[in-house]
Amino acid sequence: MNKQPDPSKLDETKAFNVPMVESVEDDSDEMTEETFADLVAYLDGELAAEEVTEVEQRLARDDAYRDRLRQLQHSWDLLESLPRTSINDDFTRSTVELVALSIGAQVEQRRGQSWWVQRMRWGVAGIIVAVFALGGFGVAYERLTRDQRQLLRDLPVIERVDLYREVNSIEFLEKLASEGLFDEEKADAP
Amino acid sequence: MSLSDSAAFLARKYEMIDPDVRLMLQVQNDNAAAFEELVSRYQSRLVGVMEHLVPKRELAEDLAQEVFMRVFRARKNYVPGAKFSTWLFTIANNVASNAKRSVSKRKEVQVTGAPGFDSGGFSIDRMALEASGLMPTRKLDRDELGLVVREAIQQLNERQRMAMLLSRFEGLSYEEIGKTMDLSVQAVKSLMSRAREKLRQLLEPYVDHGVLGKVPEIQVEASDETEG
Repeated sequence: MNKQPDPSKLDETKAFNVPMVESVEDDSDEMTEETFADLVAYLDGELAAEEVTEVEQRLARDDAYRDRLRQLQHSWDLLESLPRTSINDDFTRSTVELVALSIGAQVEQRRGQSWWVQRMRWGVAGIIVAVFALGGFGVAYERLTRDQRQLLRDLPVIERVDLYREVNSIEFLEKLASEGLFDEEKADAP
Repeated sequence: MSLSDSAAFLARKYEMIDPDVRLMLQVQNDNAAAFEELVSRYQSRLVGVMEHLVPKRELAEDLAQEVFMRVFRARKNYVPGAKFSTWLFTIANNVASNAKRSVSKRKEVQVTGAPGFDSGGFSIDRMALEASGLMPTRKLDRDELGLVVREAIQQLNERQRMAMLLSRFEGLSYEEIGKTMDLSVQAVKSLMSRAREKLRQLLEPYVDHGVLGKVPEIQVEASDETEG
C-alpha cells in the first residue's frame, strides 16, 4: 500500500513521478467505474505498486482524470470543516457507572436466581443422601443378619446332629429323606 | 500451522503492536482503570461516528455507551484478532444497525436529524433555493460549511456513510473496514468510490469558493448488489 499523495501538489504533474513530456497532449480515456474506483483507492493509498504506476501514468496524460482527482481530494478536504465532537466531561464517569450498575444488576439477578438454585441443589443433595443412607442400612442389615438366618435354617439339623452322626452314611440319610421321613421336620423349619 | 496456532500468533502480534489491545487484555482481567482509559480514548471518536449514523445526538451518546457496555461484557471472550479499533467499530456498526432498525420500526426516523438541521434550515432544498438566485449568494463561514458537509454525508446511504467515516476519521484501511462491516476488500473499494463520488458531486459547489450553490442531481446511485 502506498501513502496518500500530498494534496497541495496535485496540480503538479511531477508529483506523480511521471515525465512532464507525457502530459503535453490531452489523451482522455474513458472513465469506467473500475478506473474511477482505482483513482479513489489511489487517493486512499490502497493500490499496489504496479496499479499506482498505471494510475499515475494516466494522470499524466489525461486532464479529465487529473481534474477528477483534484475534485475528489478537495471535497474530501472539506470534511475537515465538520465540527469536532465534544464530549461532556461526565461521559466517561457515567459510562463506567452505567457498566458498574449493569454488572450490579446482573449480579443481583444471578443472586435471585441462585436462591432457588441453591435450595434445589440442597433438596437434590438431601434426596441422594437419604437414598444412600437407606441403601447402606439395607446392605448392613443383610450382612449382619445373614449368619443368624443361616443358623435358624439349619436348626433342625443341629438339633439332631448327634443322631445323624450315628447313621454314618449320607446315602442312607438321602434314602430316608426321599421316603419322606424328614418332611415333618422341614415343615417345622423356619 | 493449525487454526489455533494462527489465532494465537495473531493475538500476540496485535498485543505487541496495539497498545489498546493491551489495555483490553487488562480489562479482560477485570481492571476497571484500564476500561476507564479505553472509554476515555474512544468516547469522542465513537460518538463522532455514531452521530452521523443516527438522527439524534442523545441517541448517539446512548449507543456509544451501549458499545462500551458490550465491550465490557465481551471481555472474557476477547481474543485479539485485529486492531482494537477495528473490533470496537465492528461492535459499533452492529449496535448502530440494530438501533436504526428499531427506530425504523417505530417510524420515528428523521431524514435529517443531525444537530442544526431541524431548525437551521440547511436542507438540500434551501441550498437549491439560494443557488437559484432568489437569495443573495454569499460565502459560507466555517460553521455553515460544516453543516453543509454534514448534510452531504447524510445523503450517503448507511453503508457508504459508515465506510466513509471509518476511512476518513478513523484511518481504517479497506481491509479493516471490510472486517468491521463484514465485506470483501473489493466491495469496500466499490463502496468508497461511490461514497466519494457522491460527496464530490454534492460538495463541488463549495470546493473552490465556499459559496452556497445548487446541489446537482446525483448521477451515481449506489446499489447494494454491486457494493456487497
